[in-house]
Amino acid sequence: MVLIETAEQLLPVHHLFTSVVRANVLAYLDPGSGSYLLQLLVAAALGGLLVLRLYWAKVKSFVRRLLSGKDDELDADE
Amino acid sequence: MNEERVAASFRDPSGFVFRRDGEHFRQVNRSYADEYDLLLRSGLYENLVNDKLLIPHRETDAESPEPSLVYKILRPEAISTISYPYEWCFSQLKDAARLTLRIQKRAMKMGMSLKDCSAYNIQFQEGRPILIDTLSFESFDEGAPWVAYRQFCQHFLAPLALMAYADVRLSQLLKVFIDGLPLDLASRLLPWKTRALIPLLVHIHLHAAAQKRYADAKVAEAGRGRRMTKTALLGLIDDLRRAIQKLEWSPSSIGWADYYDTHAYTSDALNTKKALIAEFIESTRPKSVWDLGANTGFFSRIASDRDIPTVAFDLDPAAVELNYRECRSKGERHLLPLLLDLTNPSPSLGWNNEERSSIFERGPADMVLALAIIHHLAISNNVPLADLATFFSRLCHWLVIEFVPKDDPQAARLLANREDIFGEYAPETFEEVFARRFTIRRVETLPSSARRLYLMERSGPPHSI
Repeated sequence: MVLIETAEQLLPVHHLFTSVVRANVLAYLDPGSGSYLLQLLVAAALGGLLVLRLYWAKVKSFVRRLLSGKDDELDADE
Repeated sequence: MNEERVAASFRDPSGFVFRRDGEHFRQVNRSYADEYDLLLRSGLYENLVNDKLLIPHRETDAESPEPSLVYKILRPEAISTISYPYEWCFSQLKDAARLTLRIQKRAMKMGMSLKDCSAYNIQFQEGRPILIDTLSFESFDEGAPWVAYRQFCQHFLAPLALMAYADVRLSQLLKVFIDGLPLDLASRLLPWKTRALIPLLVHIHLHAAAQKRYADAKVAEAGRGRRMTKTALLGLIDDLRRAIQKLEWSPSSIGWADYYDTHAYTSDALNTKKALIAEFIESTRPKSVWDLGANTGFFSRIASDRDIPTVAFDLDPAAVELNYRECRSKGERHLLPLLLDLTNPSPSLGWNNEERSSIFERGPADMVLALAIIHHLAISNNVPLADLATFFSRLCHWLVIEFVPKDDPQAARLLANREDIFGEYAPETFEEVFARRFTIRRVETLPSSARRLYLMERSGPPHSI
């Protein structure tokens, strides 16, 4: 099987690639196997970063509110 | 009944766009019914339309051209000028990218996700980017990676990174690669230092390497096991947002930016020219104006300030960038700056050469402003005057054209280092040749120069070649 051959060339990644990707994803555009794999590899870290950033933003706005007594207005999208 | 399917609308089986008697309709196919209903039921449609992020539509009972497939027929709000990513300046493409991510984030909050991320799904309406493909959404399937990630990187991140870190003119590669820049190419063209920037390292360089290594792997076969959480996906979207946000490009100060200040016009001539153009526009009341060679849009605004839909085309990415920034900061709704090389205007591209329309297919405009460009076309590009007259007659009904004689400093500059092979380039010949295609309604000489400003009306229907 082509997948196993290619994945074996990158052993440390092999386990993740074969175990992480879900089977039921068929889109009308080819999402690209490499694009899928990369997301799975980096997204956990990026998700963690996002959580940290959100907490940090909350801490900052809490401190700012304490100091200024005003509410921060944050754009929910950006 | 005059009806045709829009040639660009064939990839997505969810539906298609067709034109009937000059109006656009979008068919939603039955196969997409659940997703379409979810878009409305979830409140996502209303949320996006209220904030002008998605084109509004109304459901109609118009007849379907494909009745066996039809679920609904929509009539979306009309877009006044269709434009393409290779005609956008840096900030236009960046704003389109930010809009796409904003929409994806909101969609995820409301249980949906973008299933494609084509830059061609974004258009500029009333000065702002807007998503025009109502059928781009699918229900959010937690656990799966984002299907449109590759397309987002190819259509937005890679060209923006190249424009910011290599050369702004590389946006023109989008004309060659209709589905966005291949990431391996972007990775090779980007300077080495971009590997030290984590977002570009991950989303372009490593992404390209992963694509190469797993080119033959099947996503579906590889499935089972661990899931990609919603937080992880939001993290990915947020990282892309930060990557886009950090990309910057600004025109250099020695470019065309100060053109109006250093130009040969005296302020008297400039005011007269402005007043004459205003008068021509007032007397003809055009429904649409294209300003060809618009620079930063000084004269285009005479039309757009009168609420006339106006497109300001220029060859120089810096001029288009400055013009767009001004539009954005002033919230101008009727002016669209676009990048266009008149000597090689946007062609018909894509499948059957019909997916993306040439500039001629998107015209004609009611009025064209051709101010101080004829010497560039006739002298720098050696175009005979008769060809120029034909060219303009294909593009407009009313033509406001400025003739710049050979002894004008700007024209003389173009002849400084070359033989003068332009015997016909004189006001008399110009008038005689243009009179074959147009009726000359007004001729005015501008003060302190020998330049002449003409108002012409096309005689007969648009000329076709």
